[in-house]
Formats: sequence, structure tokens, C-alpha cells
Amino acid sequence: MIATNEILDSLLPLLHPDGPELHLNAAILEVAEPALLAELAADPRIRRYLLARLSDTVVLVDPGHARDLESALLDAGHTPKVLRGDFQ
Amino acid sequence: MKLGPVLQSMAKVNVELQGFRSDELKQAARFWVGKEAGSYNKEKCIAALTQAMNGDDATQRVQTALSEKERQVMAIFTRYGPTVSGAVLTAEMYARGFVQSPPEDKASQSSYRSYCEQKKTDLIRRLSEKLVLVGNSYDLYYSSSYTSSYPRLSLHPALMKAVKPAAPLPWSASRVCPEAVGTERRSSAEVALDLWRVASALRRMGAWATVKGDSPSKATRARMRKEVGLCDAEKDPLSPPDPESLFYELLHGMGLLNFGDQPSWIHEKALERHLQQPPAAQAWHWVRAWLHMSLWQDGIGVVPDRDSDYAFVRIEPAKLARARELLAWALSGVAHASDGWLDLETFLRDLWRASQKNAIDFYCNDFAWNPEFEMARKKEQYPAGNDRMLAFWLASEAIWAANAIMVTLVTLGLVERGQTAGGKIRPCFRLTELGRVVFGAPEIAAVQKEPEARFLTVQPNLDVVAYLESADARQICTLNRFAAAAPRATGPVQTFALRRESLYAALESGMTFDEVHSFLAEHGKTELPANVNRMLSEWAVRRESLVLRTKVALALGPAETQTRSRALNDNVFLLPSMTVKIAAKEFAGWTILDHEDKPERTWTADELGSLSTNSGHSISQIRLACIADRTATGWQITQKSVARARVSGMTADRILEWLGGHLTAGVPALLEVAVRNWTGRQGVKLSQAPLLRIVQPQAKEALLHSATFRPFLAGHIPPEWFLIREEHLSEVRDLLERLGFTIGESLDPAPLGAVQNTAKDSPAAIRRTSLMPKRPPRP
Repeated sequence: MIATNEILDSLLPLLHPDGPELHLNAAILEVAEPALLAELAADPRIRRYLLARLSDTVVLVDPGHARDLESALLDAGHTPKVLRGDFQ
Repeated sequence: MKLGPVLQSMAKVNVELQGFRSDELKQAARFWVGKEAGSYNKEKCIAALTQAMNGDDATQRVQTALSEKERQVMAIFTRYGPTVSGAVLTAEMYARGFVQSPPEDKASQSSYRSYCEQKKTDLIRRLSEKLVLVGNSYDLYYSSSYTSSYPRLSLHPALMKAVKPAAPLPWSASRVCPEAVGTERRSSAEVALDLWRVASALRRMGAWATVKGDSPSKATRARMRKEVGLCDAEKDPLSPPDPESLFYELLHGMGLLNFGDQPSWIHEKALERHLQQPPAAQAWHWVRAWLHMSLWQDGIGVVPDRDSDYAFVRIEPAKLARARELLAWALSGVAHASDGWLDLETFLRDLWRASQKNAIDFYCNDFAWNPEFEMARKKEQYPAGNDRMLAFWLASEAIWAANAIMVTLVTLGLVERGQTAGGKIRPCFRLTELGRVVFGAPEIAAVQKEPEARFLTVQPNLDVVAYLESADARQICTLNRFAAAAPRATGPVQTFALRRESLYAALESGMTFDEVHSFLAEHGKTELPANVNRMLSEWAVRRESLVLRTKVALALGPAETQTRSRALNDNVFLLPSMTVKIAAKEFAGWTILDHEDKPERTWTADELGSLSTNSGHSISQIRLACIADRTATGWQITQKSVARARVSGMTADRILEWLGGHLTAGVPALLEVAVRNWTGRQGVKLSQAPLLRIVQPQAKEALLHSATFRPFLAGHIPPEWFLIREEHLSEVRDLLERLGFTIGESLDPAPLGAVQNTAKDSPAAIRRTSLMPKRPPRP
């Protein structure tokens, strides 16, 4: 049986910047568990807006496409909680 | 909450003394200052008047220098004012007996003598001469002389507290109906729900198209119709035409829509505040908005913001506003009379007389509902005189008034309509409790009635049945925030559906799950079914399991530099939002990437997809890794790499968007074609074919139309190329030699780009050119 991490690695690789980076006005998607992230990453309608994984439950959204991702999630039957500027 | 008269003017009054003649100022100064002002010049008059008008003894002066009747006239202004419209002022002056209509047999004798007599005794004129009342002197001079009507006037602001407001005038109906059958009324909650649904439809549109006057465009109206679908005049003549636009214009009139910027938007907080008000206060604002609504007209619907001299387009807005004011004035009287049913035709006859026969006066005879009044049907039978004029009025303008009362005001929950009981069925009406409070304000106050706590039933199939008569607007609109109203629903009992999407929309708009749960428990006539409770919890939990955070700051680097952060990983931290300036200061030496900036143009590419970059930041690297393969010297876009990107949902447009964003120059055309080919099904056909080239036009035409050659030709490429069927190549060669052509072995095609417009030389083009008439020489 393939572990969720392996699936995630193949669908959405982890981000490894060459040096320290600070991303401003970024959008991230947080999920309750890695399996849900794997499910989202396996859906091309959603995956196209996901840039890279930050952890097993957090993913960086492609810059400029947060609204598109929100629409794609809703179209796919998900109900994301949308928070603006809230980091906690 | 105490309401003012619904016709009360809120406009601020400014009195410009410089605009008056010196004799006018002197006359006014005698009242405001004293008799000594008779010797003042203009400047001294203005100075003295200004001082007196700003002084504290204005009230005292009114008591000593004005007659009782003059003070009673002022009381009309303190009731409705400071400004009172001409229609209401005229009606009040006659109804309170300050002006007498001339006897009917002497009505035509409007001689100079009667004009002079009226001028002497006219209270309005006397108060205007004292500058107690101010307005347009031109209007005043011409209006009251012969037409028995007054213009719009204002009471001087210094005198607003000088007399108590006039008492209301109860309506004196010529005929009251003992009872009514087939009655219909709407609750304030139903009206508020319609308003809320139209606002929600506009909200869902995000931006909507408008036409002149900020009226909804045809497309916007069609969309509102589709999404809200209220019952309209086409289905039921006693429903308003374009009902969604009526509510749109109410929102507009109450200042809840903003058109200053494009696109248009809703003042959400103001709408929320409006719906939180008591029902009477909400309805009071609806009537105020209706009074000045010019682009939705009773019995007509939406009209354009223009007039036409040649065809009826709309009722002239000023005349419509005047008619609505007069109707509201009459209904204020009805609110203060006994609560009986009024025969509609009789009420309108009384209104015609009370308004001195000319206040509701415009041309329009095409309304959604025509009550076909008895007198109107017999209009041609009346001899010349007042009855004939009334009959014709009942056949035209009164139909507007009938639509306003029996349709618009019923739709707004202010009027209850019915039919007279007995032999002759005639339309009749009365004010609802809400209508009595709104039109009877300030004397009639709303009875503080606590809404029924339990007005809904939640069913196991997730439907919510709501009894609107028992609820107030606030409760219904709260319910509609998390439960979708059934499309085209009307009536006092409506069904709402609890859906995952509707709950999600409510939670996203700021409601909490606990609020939803408490609302259903508090207002439910029965206990919340267990399966519904479970379902709602699941939907709420599911929302919490997926969080999209925007406008956040992310630090991808060593942990020790982070303060007030949340760790997402060993090396990834979520920070509070910050500006680039602060970031540069606090994170010196870090690469700062603002996701709202345009991407850095650091990529170069050739037309075969070989890419190189001088940037090492993560976004650039991840995007490259997504669409290209790494090579020894850089990156290469290939069919395989594009196919891999396609699997992860990338489209040709997204790949080209990334390339266009990062490349220092434009995307090479060949690379763009290749990317599109690799992501699509575009193809070309390629094979060998013998070609024959004939340059001489006459020979080319002969070959093209030859029956002998036709079987050997596979096609023609204008202007001079022929495709030969390979199996007939030798036969074509023999035939051409036989016909005397010299056959060359080399084709010698022109270099690429040498032929600019091949179609120009084609036989068809040649034919067209030869047939074109020559341009005549210039003189």
C-alpha cells in the first residue's frame, strides 16, 4: 500500500527554496488531513492552481489564482472557509 | 421608534435675502423687525432681517404679529415641513377651509375682481410677503391667481418651532362599505423577503448593467426575473408589472445601491441596518422611496429616463411625484378615519374633489389593471360639466391611482384589497395595520407586538416551512441567509430549503454555526429533527476542514528569525500581513516575493523551447519544473513535459501565461504553436504530390476549364499551380507535349515571402478586376 506522503510527493512536491524567502500577499490552502490534500491534488481542476506543498496539510497557491482556486473548489463541491489576512 | 409624517420634507431651507427687491424686504422687515423698518434702505433691511431671523424672539413675534388663521396655515408647514409640495398645500388649504372653491355656477367668472379679492384675503400670499413662507415668487404669482393651486413653499427655518404642528385631517368618505370579500394582504415580512431576495440576486450578479438613470438594463431585469421570479402583472393583473424592478427601485430610493463607481454594488451594512428596523420603520422608508420613484411607475413598470413628444414613453416624473404625494396625503386622512372598507371608485371621486380636480393630471391610458369604473364606462353620456370631467378622469388618471392603491401599495403590505359584498362587485380597500401606522404617523404609533417566537417547522427532508404572518422581517431575512427560498415562492406560508451551499454562504458571510442552530431551535414549532442537526454539523465541520487563507505572509527560512509566527513546517512560518517596506527592514538579506506583483522576467527561450533563467527564486523554479524538463544547460519544454503538465491540470493558456509572464521577450510564435499542438489536436497533412506550374494566364485558364485534363487534375493552387494525380503523370506529360508546351524539369518556386497576395492574381480576381468600372477622373 502506498503511503499518503508518497502520493503527495508525486502529485505535489514540497517546496525547497535555494535560500530564505519571504512571500507577501500569498495565498495558502490548509486542510485537516493529508488525505484530503491528496484528494485535491489528484483533481486537475484544482491542482492547476496549487503551486507546491509547504507541509503535508498546507499548500502554496499559484500567485494571482486564489479566486480561481476558490471557484474551482466550490465547483468541485468543496466548501472552503475563506479567510483574508488571518494567519492564526 | 416614532415616525414623522410620511410626506415630511427633510430638505434644508436657505433664504437668500439678496434676491428680493427692496420693497419686498421692507414689507418683510415690518413683520420681523417692526414698523420702523419702513424707512430702511435695502442694505439696512437685509442686516436687520438677518439679525431678527437669527434672534431668539421669532416665536414671540409670530404670536403677536400674526393672525390666528395665519398661525394655523403655519401649522401645516410645521406638520409636513419645512417644505410642503404644491399639491399637498393646496389640498390642505381647501380641506381646512382656508380657501373656498367658487360656487360651481360662478366658476367661469374668474374675473379680475375675484382675482383682486382673493389676492387680498389669500393667507399664503400674506405670509409669503412677510417672508414667513419662502419659495419661488414667480410660481407664487402665477399659481394662486386663477388655478386655485399653490406652488411648493417652505416655512422660514427660524419659525419651525413657533407653532405646533397641525392636527391630522381625517378622511371624510362619501361611502363606506360594510364588509368585503375575497380580501388579500401581505405581511411586512413577505415584503422584506422580496426586497432581500432582489438584493441577494444583485449580490450574486456581483456587478450588474444599468441604463440611464441607474435603472436596471434589460439583461439585468431578465436575470432578476430568472433568479427571483415574483408574480407579475402578466400572470395576474393585480400583481405589479416588473415586480423585481419595483424592489430594485426601492433599494435605489433608500440609498442602498451605489452607482458612483463601476461596477455597481450594494451597501450591505446599510441594508442589514434597514432590515433590523421595526416593520413600520421599514415600510415608512419604502413609501418615502416610492414617492420619488420615477423609473418604475405604478401599473406601467419600468420606464426609460427620457420623454418623447411623439409617443407615450412614461408619466412625466414631476407629475407622477405630485400625484403620489396627493395620494399619500389622502391615505394619511384615511389612516385617521374609522377603519372601514372604502369603495375604490368613491374614494377616487372624493380625491378628485379634494385635490381641486387638477392635481392628478397626466396623459397615460395603458395600465396593467383597469378597474373599469362605473362612471368611466358611461363617460360619454354626461353633459359638459364637472361630472363629465370626473368621468373622463376616472377613465384615465384614476386608473393610475387605482393601480397604485390596489397593486403597488398592496404589494408593499400597506393596503388590504377586496371586493364589496352583495350584488354589485366593486373593488374596495382599507389600510393594513402597517399602512395605518405609516400613513397615520406621527399620531398613530405602532403597537409594540412581539413577533411570534415560533414561526417555522423544520422537516426531516431539510425543508423549513415558515409562517410569514407570524414572523417579522428580521427573522425571515435571517432565515433566508442560511436557507434558500423556493424560487417563485409567494404567499404567507413559504418553504425554505436547508442546503450545504446555503449554510456555507451564511457561514462565509459571518454567521456562526451556533447562531444557525439556536435560530432554528428558538423559532421552531417542533424540535429540530436529529438527522437535520447531524447534517448541519457535518456541513459546518466540513467547511472548517478546508481553509483558504489569502493575503498572508510566509517565511521560508530559519526558525530563529520568526516572532509572532505560526509554524507550518520546520522551515515554513505563517506571519501577520506586512508591507514590503517593513519586510525589507525585518528580513534583510532575504528574497522578498510579493504575490500581487507581476512575475520577474528572468526567463529566455528559443522557438524550439529551450529555456534558461537567471533567477533562483522558488516560484520561478516550481513553474519551470512543472512545464519543462531540466537539461545540462537549463530547461527544455517538450511534448513530454507539456503532457506531464496537462495531467496536473495545466492548460495551454496557463502554460503560455507563465511563459508570457516570465520571459524577457515575447513567447516565440513557433513555441506557442507547439505548446498548443502538444495540448490539443491541431494537425497538418503532409505527402508527396506532382505539381504543374503554368504562368501564362490564357494557358492556365484553358487547362482549368478543359474536360480532357479534368480527370488528371487533383487540385488547383491559385494562381498558377496544379496538383496532378500521380498515376496520370505520364499521360499529362504526353498531352502537354502534344499541345506544344515545352516541359521544364525544375519548378523554380519564388522564395518565401516574395508572393504577397496570391489571391490577387487568381482567375476569379482577374475576372472581378476586369468587370469593375473605372473610377472617373477627378475634375
